[in-house]
Amino acid sequence: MTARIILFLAAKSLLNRWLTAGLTVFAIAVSVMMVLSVEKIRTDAKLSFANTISGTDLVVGARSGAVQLLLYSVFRIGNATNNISWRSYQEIANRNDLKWSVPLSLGDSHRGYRVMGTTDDYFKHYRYGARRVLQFDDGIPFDDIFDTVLGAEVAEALDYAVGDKIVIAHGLGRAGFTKHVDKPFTVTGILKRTGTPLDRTVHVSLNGIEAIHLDWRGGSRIPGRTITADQARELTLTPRSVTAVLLGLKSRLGAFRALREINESRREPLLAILPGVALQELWSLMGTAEAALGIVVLFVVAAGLIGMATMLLASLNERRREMAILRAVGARPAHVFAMFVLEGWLLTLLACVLGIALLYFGLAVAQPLIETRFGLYVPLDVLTIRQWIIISAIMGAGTVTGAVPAWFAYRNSIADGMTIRT
Amino acid sequence: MIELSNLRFRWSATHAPVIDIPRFSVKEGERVFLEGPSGSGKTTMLNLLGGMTVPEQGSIVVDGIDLVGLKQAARDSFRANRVGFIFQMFNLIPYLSLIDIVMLPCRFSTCRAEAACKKSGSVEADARRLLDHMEIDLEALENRAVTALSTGQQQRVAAARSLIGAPSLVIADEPTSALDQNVRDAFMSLLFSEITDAGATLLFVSHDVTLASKFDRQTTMSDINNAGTQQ
Ligand SMILES: Nc1ncnc2c1ncn2[C@@H]1O[C@H](COP(=O)(O)OP(=O)(O)OP(=O)(O)O)[C@@H](O)[C@H]1O
Ligand SMILES: [Mg+2]
Repeated sequence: MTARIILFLAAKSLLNRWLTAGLTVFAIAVSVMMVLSVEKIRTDAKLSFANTISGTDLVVGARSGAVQLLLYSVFRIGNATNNISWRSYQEIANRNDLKWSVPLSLGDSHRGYRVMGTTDDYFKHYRYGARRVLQFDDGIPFDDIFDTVLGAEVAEALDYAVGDKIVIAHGLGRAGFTKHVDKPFTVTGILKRTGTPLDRTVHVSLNGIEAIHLDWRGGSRIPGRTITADQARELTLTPRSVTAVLLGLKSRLGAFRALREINESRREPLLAILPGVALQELWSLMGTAEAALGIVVLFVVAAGLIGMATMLLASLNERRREMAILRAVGARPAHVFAMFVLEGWLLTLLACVLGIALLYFGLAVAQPLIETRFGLYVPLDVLTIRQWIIISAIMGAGTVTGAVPAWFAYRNSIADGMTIRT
Repeated sequence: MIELSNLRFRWSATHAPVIDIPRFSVKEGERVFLEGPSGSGKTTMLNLLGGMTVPEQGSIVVDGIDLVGLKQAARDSFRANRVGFIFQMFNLIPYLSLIDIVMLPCRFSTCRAEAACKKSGSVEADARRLLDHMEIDLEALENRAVTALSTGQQQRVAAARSLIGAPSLVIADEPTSALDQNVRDAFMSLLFSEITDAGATLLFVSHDVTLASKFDRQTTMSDINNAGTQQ
């Protein structure tokens, strides 16, 4: 029975100070939102990375860092510093422990989306998520040199349909770059959404990549040399190099052997990686940043809670009279303590509810932005166990914080008794 | 109703005793007027009677209960169950409605809630009845902040609060000192009729001796308290 009146009094007294209480709640809510979104982005990023590639046993590229190779070849982040020569590629592709191999050629773009040259084996062998096969939303894989298959987001964002013609830009700039205007590509297929960087990729054949670069050297057109699209078709378009190769082995047991042999290749310095191992390496790199971010966010939460303690402590003196009246009508010092703790608890509870609301609101607003800018798909799904644990921890911390002013109020109410001090 | 004997109290070991009362008693239903100069220990004595503080020695028996032997929690519930308080001023909690303030003692005491229900059907109905008897126009004042009430109105609300749920003892500590004369007289007559109605005992502390004639008995601190006279 008394529990109810204490809760009632705590709520009423907060309502009476709605402005300070509201600002306090807002400050804590913002910190709650920050903690939850950091946690969400963190898990979603990991999940999305982990989901991007599956079923590929090895990734091979020019020698650089394992993480760098994984990032540019699979996640389309950053650039390759070097390519693999076509002959090296063929040497690798002819290994007899392979089930399949898919070459990738990166470096061009279309309106901000990366263009990737590959073979139609890519659509057959590439797996993502729980070994899911790529599916076509519309159309078919490319066949002609000047055919292209678009990722779901490219098609959606740029409003392309099968049959449309697109022009590929040289290099990775967004706009204003020199374009391969003379050799437009026809959209033959659009992939179903995968939630991976594939959605933001424009796929063309390796030959197509080669064809548009026939009359180019380095970053510019070769003066006086123009080869039309039709002329290009007549030429043998063997690529000079590829950026990376994805390999599927007959037996995963052979992975380490293949890895060693490729890494020791004499033709040129190559690097073969196991995607899972490189991901682990990426996680440990991210770990430091995560920890730093976690500490920052922790301080933000602490600042919010200290604000709450300040608000409650500041009210102590003006509320001595109120406490004396409560004591006179039969409240125990423990009730006074409970009332202040409850106020802290209520403020934190409101802050958590508001923080969660802000999180989802923020995600709904930022979702498309995060997806296009960072290639990270953040679904608006229910809170994870970890997020609930964080919320509980904040609730606990808020309640403990409320205990500080509560302790002072308790001491005052014992000292003051019913004496009304003004 | 009240039996004090050999009561001694000091605020701390270094202070002189504030209370040294060999004997003081109040009969059930009696209305006692208590006066005394400032600092003579009146409020301190009321705190002892309400079980808020414990004496150094002696016994305090109120309504048949020996407070000295009780634990703090038991003294708190004794106060909740049996005593109504009216203070000099600022009796009201700023964030509660008039009705909520009057009902407050019933929230901390089941037996007072039951008594109020028995009287008027529900605690709220009893609160309304008492406010009505105290001539508080609820229709006009209900939605007003309690801080916007006049002092006289505030004291009448405080009286209604002290009386709800039939406490056996009502203790008033200078409840009229902030009121001007007309308001004070109106307050006194309302308080008296409600005390009679409730059958409660009244211990009334005041500097205003003109009020004393209305009481059954009048006493001064110097008569009962040895500590005050020694200073
Ligand atoms: N909390 C306290 N701590 C220490 N001394 C106190 C405390 N409260 C009161 N006193 C002292 O006890 C003595 C009696 O105070 P008390 O408040 O009982 O007097 P009073 O008769 O009610 O006076 P007044 O008519 O001014 O209300 C005073 O000397 C006072 O200074
Ligand atoms: Mg006093």
